Amino acid sequence: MMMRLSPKPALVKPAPDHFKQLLQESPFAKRAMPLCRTRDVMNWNGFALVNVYSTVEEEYFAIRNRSSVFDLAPMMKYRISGKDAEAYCNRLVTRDVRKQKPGRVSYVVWCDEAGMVIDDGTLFRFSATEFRLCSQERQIDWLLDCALGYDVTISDVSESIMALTLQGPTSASLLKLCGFKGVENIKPFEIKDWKIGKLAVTVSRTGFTADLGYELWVDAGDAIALWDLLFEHGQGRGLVPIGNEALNMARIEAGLLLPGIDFISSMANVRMGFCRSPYELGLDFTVDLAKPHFNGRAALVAEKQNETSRSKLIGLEIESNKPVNDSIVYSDESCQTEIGFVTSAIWSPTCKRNIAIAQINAPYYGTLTQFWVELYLKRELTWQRRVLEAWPVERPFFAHPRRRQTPAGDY
Amino acid sequence: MVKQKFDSIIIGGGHNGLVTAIKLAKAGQRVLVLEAKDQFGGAAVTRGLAPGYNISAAAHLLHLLPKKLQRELRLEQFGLVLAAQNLKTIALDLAGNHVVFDGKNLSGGTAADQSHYPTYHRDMQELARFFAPLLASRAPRLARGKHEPHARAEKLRDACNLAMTGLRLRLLGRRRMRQMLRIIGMNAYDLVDEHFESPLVKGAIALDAVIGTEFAPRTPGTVISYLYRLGAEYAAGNSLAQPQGGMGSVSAALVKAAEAAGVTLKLKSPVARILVSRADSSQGYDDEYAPDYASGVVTVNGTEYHANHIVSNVDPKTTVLQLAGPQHFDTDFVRRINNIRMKGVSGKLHLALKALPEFKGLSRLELGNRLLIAPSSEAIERAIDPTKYGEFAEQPVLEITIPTLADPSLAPAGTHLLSAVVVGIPTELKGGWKAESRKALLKNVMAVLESYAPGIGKLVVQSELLTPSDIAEEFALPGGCWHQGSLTFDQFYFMRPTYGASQYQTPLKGLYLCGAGNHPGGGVMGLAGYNAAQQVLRHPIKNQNSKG
Repeated sequence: MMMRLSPKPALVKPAPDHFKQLLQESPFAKRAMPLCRTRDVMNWNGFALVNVYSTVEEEYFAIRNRSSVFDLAPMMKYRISGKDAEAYCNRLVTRDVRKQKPGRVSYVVWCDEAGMVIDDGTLFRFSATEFRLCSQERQIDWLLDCALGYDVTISDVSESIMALTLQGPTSASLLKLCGFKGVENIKPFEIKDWKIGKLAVTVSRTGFTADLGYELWVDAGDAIALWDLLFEHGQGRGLVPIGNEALNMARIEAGLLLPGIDFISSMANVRMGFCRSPYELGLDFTVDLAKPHFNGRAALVAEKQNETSRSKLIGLEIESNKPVNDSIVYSDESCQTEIGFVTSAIWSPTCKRNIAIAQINAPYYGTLTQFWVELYLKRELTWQRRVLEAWPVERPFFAHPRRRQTPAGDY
Repeated sequence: MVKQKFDSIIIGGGHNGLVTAIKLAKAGQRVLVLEAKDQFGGAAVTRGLAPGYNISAAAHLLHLLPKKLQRELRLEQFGLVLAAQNLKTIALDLAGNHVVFDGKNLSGGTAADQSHYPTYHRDMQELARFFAPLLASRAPRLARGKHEPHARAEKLRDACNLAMTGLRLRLLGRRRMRQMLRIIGMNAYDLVDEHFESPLVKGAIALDAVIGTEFAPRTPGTVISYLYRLGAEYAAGNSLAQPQGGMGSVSAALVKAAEAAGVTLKLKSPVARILVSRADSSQGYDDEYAPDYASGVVTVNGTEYHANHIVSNVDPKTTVLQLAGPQHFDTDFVRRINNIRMKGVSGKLHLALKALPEFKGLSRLELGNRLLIAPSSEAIERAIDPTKYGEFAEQPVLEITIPTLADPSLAPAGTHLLSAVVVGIPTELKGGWKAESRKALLKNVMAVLESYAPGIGKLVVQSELLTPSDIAEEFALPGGCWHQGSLTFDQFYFMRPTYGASQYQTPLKGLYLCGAGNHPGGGVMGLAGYNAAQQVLRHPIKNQNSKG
C-alpha cells in the first residue's frame, strides 16, 4: 500500500459580512420559517433550525399518525471515495463494512484507541469505492487523520447535499403520490435514486423514529424544489413540518442515542473516565471483533473478554407520568447508593409509559431489577421531592412492525 | 518463495540491531539479521572515499557506547581497538588563541572562565550522573491502556524505576536539585551566558547542546538535550575515542560477536514488508479475541522469513507506516508516529588530503583531537537560522576530526583524511539540491576551513559533502536526522518514540523497535538495542523451537 496523505479540503472562504448573521440559514428556510408560528428557533451545528412550528403535540402525533418532515441541513456529510474506501471505512468503524452491500445504509459508531466512542452516524454505501458518512458532530479532522496510508479522498459535502427526513405511517403513500414509483418496495436501510421531472432525489429508507420513514437527499440547489414537491402532495397525507422537540420525543421512544446528550464524544471529553465504549452504550450489535483490525479493537477485545465495562446505557420504565429528566438513579428507596443517572426521558404518549435512557454503573445494570429514581418537581414555585420506582425494559421502547414491512403499507 | 523460521528477526543491521541480535542469541534464540545494504553498521561504518582512503561516513567519534556494554559484548576480543582515547576538545580561534577542554580543566579563554570551569564541570557531571541510569533502563510507563498486558511484575518494575528516579533526584541534594529544576527548561545560550565570558567557551558548550538536533542555542529546551548528552557520555565512561579502522570497526566487532553467538546475518536483503497475521484457534485464541501479530517479513526479492518476534532497527516512523502499514494500528497511534519530528541540519564533509593541513596555532600533536569551529553561541545561531527557511549557512559551524593522525591505516602513507560535521544545512533546500547549490555550499565550508587552516584547499585530493538529504538516503535516516527522531524534551524518555511504544514494543503483538528512535536515543550508544533485547526476552516464546 502506497503511503499517501489525503489532501486537506480547500477552506471555504466565508462571506465578508458573515459575522452579522450568527446562525446560518438552511436552504429550506425560505419555506420552513414562514410556517414556524412560534418563532421558536434553535441552534443546531451553527444553523438556525425550527424547534417547534406549531405545538409539540401536533408535530409529535404527525410523526406517529401521519407524515412529518424535518430539515436535516445541519447534518454533517462526508464523501469517502477511492480504491481503498472499503478498507478505510472498515478500519474507521466497529462494524464489518465488507458485509454492507452497495445500495445499503448501516448505523455505525467509531472509536478512538481506548475503544471510546467518538461519534455515531449512518454510513451509506453507493458502490465498491464510494461511501457517505453522516454524523451530527464535525469529523473532518479525524476522518483525514484516518486516511493516512489509504488511497481515498475525503470531502466534506455537508453544504452541497441537503436532506429532508420524511417520517410517519403515510410517508410511503405520500412519496408514491409525488411520483416515486415503486418506493414502497425499497427495504429498510436500502438506497435508491429517483428522477421526478428534473429533480434528482436519492431516497434511503432510514430515520430516527423506529417507524416507517425515508430520508430524501438532493443537491443543495434543489432543496426548495424537494420541499415544494412534498407539500404539493402532502395535504391528503397529513404532512406537517416538525421541529426538533417533537423529533426528540420520537427518537427517545426509538431508543436512539444523541452525542452530547446520551454520551460524550471522546474527542469532546475533558474529564478522565467520562467517555464510553460501544458496549457501555449498549451498542454491542455494532461491534464485530472478528473483522480485520479497526480503531479501538484491542481495547474492545480486552473490555469484552475481561468484562470490564464500567456502566451500561439501559432502558428504564418509571412509575407515575412525570418525565425524570436529569435524575439520579439509586439502588435503594432510601437513596443511599447512587448507581447512575438518566440521560434522556419523556412521558411517551404512544406507549403510555414513562420512559428513560439511563447510564447504570457496573455491576448494577445486569443484576438489579428494581431501581429508584429521585425527582424534583416544581409546583407553583414549591419544590417537591419524589422517589419513584423504576425497572429495566428493552430498547427501543416503541418499534412498530410497519417500520420493517416491505412493501411498505399504503396508509 | 522460501520460508524459514526463526525466534527473532532483526530488520536492519545497524549497531543497535546487532546489539539486540547478540543479546537475544546469547539468551538461546535463533536470530536472523537482515541488512539492506552490502555492509553492516548503519551509521557506524567505514567506507571508501577515494582509492586508498577510508572514512567514517556518518558518526566519526566513539563517545557514547558504554564501557560496560563493550565488555559484556566482548568487543575487544572481537577486534575493537581504540586508536585514540580521551581526546580533548579544542575550540579554534581565528588568531590561534584556542580554548582547550580537557576533562575538568580549561585552558584558554578568560581568567574568570578558567577558574570557574572546574566548578561548572563538577556541577554538570553531578547532573549527568543523575541522567546516566535513566538511559540504561527502559523508560517507565505512567499509565497502561486497559487492553495492554498488565502483568503485576511489569507494573512493579516501572513503579520502582520511577520511585528510584524520584529518590535519586532528591538525593542530588537541595542545591543541585534546585539548580537542575532551574536550568532544565532553559536554552543553552542563556546557560553558557550565565557562566562564561569567552565567546569560544560559550560556543563550544552551546554546540554540544545542539549538535545533532535541528535547534540553535537560543531554542528553549536545549539545556535538557545538553544534560542528556552529558548523561550519555557519563554512562559511557566520559571518553572521547577514535576506533582503529574508523567507526566501521565497531560494527565489524559487533558482527563478529554476533557470528560467534550464532546469529544468522544476511546482507543485501532489504525488507519490503512486515507480515501481519491474525492469531487463530491453533494458538489457543477465540476468533473474536484473537490478536493480530507480526509473523514474519518478506524481502524485496520475495523471500519470506518467519519468526515469533520481529525487531525493527529501522526508524519507528518507517517501521510503522511503511513496513507494517497503518492499517494494523489505531489512528491515534499512527498520528503520533507520523508526527515524530525527524530533522537534521547537519551534513558531513569528507576530505582526502595529500598532506597534513596546518591549523593556525595548533601543533601536529593537537590536530588529532576534536576540533570545533564555533566561534560563539551567536555564530551557531546564525549558522542554523537559515535552515528554517530552506537555506544553508553562510558560515557553517564545524566539528572536525583528522583520524589519520592516530590511525594512518585509513589513508595512503603520508596522506590524510579530514572528517567534519557541518552544522547549518537544511534537509530540504529551497529549490532543491542541484550541482550549483552543492558547489556553493562546499565553497562556504571550504572558506571557513581556509580561514583557520590556510592552504588546506590546495591539499584536497577528493572531497565529498553529504547534505542531510544525502545522509537520509545513504543511511536510511529520514530527514537526515541522526537519531531517528530529534533528541528533544518532547521526544525523550516515555515519549520516545511516542507513548504506546515507549517500551520497545508497538501495539502490534510481536513487533518491537530497537533503533535510536527509541529510548535512550541516538549516537553510537547501543543502549536502545540492549534495552529492546531485554524487553523481547521478557516475553517468552510460545511453541518453542529455539535451541536454548
